[in-house]
Amino acid sequence: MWRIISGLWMGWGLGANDSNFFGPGVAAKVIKYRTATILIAIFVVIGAVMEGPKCMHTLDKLSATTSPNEAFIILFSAALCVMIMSSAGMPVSTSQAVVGSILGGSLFRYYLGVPGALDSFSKLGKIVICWIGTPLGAAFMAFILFHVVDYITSRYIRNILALNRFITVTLVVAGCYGAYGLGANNVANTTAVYVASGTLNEFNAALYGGLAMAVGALTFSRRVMMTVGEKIAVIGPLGALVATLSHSMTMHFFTQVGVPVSSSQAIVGAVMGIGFVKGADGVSYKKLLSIVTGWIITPISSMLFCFGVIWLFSKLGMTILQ
Amino acid sequence: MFFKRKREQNIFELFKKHADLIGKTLCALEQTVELFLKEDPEFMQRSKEMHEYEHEADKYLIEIRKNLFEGAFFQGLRNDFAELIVTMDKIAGDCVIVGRKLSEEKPYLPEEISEIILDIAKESSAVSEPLLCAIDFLGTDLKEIEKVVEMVTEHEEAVDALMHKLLKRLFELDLDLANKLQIRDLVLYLSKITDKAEDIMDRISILAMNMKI
Repeated sequence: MWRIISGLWMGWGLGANDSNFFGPGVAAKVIKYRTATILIAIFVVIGAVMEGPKCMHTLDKLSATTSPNEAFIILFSAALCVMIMSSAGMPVSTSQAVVGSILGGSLFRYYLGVPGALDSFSKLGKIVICWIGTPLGAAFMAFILFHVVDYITSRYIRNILALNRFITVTLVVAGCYGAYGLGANNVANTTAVYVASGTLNEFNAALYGGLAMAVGALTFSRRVMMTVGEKIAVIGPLGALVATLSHSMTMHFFTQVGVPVSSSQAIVGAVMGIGFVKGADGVSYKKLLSIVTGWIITPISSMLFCFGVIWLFSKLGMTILQ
Repeated sequence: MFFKRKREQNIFELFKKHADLIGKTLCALEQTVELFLKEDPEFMQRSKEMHEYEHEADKYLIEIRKNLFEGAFFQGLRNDFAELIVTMDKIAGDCVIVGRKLSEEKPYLPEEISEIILDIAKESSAVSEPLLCAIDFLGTDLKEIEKVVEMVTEHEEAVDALMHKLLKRLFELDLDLANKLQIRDLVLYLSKITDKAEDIMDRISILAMNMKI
């Protein structure tokens, strides 16, 4: 059971870094930081328990591991890789790091001569399409929602007080929905390999992963939330609302597809979608490039890093395969 | 609960009260100038009233600013509102300066230009109505704002034309240069009022436009 500690660490990091759905609201003092984190914690756990298993199945199929030790090392190396890459200022996605680490495990099996060890690579197609689809989908969603919100506000909202109330309520609702989507989509990153290895059942995996993410949001999310919030606030209150809603809907959409995707790439895509509607000036090509390089660099780095860590642990005498 | 945004409603009420006081100050300014030109000593009383209105408006300004920066409205809106209220307050400040100049300096205003000075004061005072309407429309119907913006522009243009006429006539008069400069200084303060009113209307228009996505 102690082996789930690496998954909980990953969950804590995820909760701390990706709980930015309330960013615009907290930055604008629509909602207090403490209230926002409590709402995030509640909805992340609900999302994880209600729909988390949908994405777990995908990672479950990808992972060939049946060993609790291997599951521990996969998440340990993924979490460590995310931490190192983030500290170095490199674009990194937890979902892509976990997939990379799982492939690192497969690579180690191949190294040991286990037959069919590289079968995991053939199951990557759907996942990669979803990764590419995340910022694109979020941008498309933002494009549509932009026009919907514009129609509603210009037709039904006549003054500043009404508009302020509309934005306040919808931002809070969108934030809760986003937290739900994050829990549902990303909990697989924290505990899916334990389901594959038989350490945890689906419900417990979703619950523990969700709780770890909730603790991350409650303890260490202020800096990221404020940074993201202030950056998004530049596009105006209605723009921030559209970005948050598109972000949340994208996360929830890919939960239905069953693939864990990057929350950071979804929000970047959503903001770019608004940029496209307002004109090319609003589009950051530097960010676009960082996403594309992240698709390649993160899983490859994580895969090689995980391979190295498993190899090291095996040399230290740990039984990797059972 | 965070859904009830009573703070914004309160700010808006305070904002309207502040604008009412600015309107009263402008009205008192017109009366002060008129009474001064008639050499009626009652103008001192009107000038004092202006000062009281301005002082009262200052209290609202402080309260509004405090509420705004405690978290009412969104970041961008908050700054727009703060700048708007400060500019509104400057109108009252200009009115008080004109009143003070009249009561402390008691400048000699020759008959040839007194009519024009009164017209400038009337045009300046007339901006209070569209200003109050614009602020009210922020809280009721944003689409109506554009209609009153034009009214302020008309007053501002009228004051500009009157100022041009007045300065031309003033410097043709056989007066001491010191007296001429004293009068010019006085009417420059008067003319600033419509400039500031136009600035406020621009800010209100931008605020309304920023409400679009």
